[in-house]
Amino acid sequence: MSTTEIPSQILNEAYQAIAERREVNPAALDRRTVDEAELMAALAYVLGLPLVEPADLTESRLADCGQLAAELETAALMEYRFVPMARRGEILSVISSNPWDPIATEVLLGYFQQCTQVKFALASPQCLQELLNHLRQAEARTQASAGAGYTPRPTSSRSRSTAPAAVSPTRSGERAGVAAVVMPPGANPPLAAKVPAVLDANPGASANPDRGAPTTADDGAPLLTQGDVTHVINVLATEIHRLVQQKREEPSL
Amino acid sequence: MNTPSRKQFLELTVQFKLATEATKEALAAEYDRVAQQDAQARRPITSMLEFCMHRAGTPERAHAIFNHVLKNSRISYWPNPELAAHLRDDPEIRDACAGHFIVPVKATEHLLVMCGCNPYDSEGAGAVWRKLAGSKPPFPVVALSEPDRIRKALMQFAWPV
Repeated sequence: MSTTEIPSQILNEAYQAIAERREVNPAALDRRTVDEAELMAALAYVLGLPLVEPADLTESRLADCGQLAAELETAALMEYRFVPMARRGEILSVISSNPWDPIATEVLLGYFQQCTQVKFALASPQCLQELLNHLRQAEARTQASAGAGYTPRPTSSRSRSTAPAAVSPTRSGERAGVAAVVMPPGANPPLAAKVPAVLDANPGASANPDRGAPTTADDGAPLLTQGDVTHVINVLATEIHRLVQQKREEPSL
Repeated sequence: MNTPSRKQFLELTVQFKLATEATKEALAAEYDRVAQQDAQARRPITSMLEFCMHRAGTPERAHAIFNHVLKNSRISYWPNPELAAHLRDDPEIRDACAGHFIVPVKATEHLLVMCGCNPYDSEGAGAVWRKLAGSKPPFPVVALSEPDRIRKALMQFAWPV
């Protein structure tokens, strides 16, 4: 794991914990002698999070993750480096290789609107990648076995950008009744549909197909390109980041 | 009843109105009896959370009790605890875990992850950790899970027939 990605305060606390465990002065700890297993354990300890390792990726855990991850875009999971693992009441449990990232939490809470809190389990980037690979393979198997009767998942950027009209980032159950694009079981909605519902400028689009019409031109071609969608997502992510920073800097009353 | 159980008992009885001021101590005494019976029978004790969930009246309220505990604790959630396989035949660890209703799900050279259902119970985690700590004790981490899942994981220990 690249230590450059870890906030310096957390990293220092982890090394300090390792030094205490080895009964050496933190300043005298030779960081080169700390292997990945020990560093991950120390990070889990200072963050107070359980650690998910490749051996923990059991069939049942993969199934649980797959079920929740099916509601999200794989690209987003990779970008924000998390995989939802379980939902319990208002709590979403998530495996992440960077649980310190406030943006990831905001994105998760934005999407899983019935959840008010995210609880993390830590994984190394390698382990998370392995988990994502499993999910991708499972997704590919599901798509391959879905067979005829389903409209294939759109692949071109033009067709992908038409999706918000048909599939809004609401609960998966709500998507089923709105069917300009019918997704095979387990398939992810297109990228644009993955914008957290809280960020959706037109949250009612899925409930009323007519309201989605303006996103396509008269000839059926999309008005929004993939680049437009990406731009909007970036703007929103920046705004979330700014708000989080602002809230953090506000003096507590 | 130990202090962590007492804390959880008071919190849950007030929050979910499981007892009135007048009946609170009777309910606490009932818990003590149940826990004592479990200990005598050499089986995992009934956790306070489990006890309160059983007295919730409906499954929905029982879930609400667990969700309340999960939401209001700072510790993380582990959805499907399984006993660390290499500890299955260790009677000392088994007895410590059964007595505190906590299960070690990962026990490596560097890390000990335990699953319990009382966020106040650092005694239980400490007791198991001390049993497993060698010359270089592993970093301890505790997560929450549902009592029935923890019980299932505890039953993965080798129990005397």
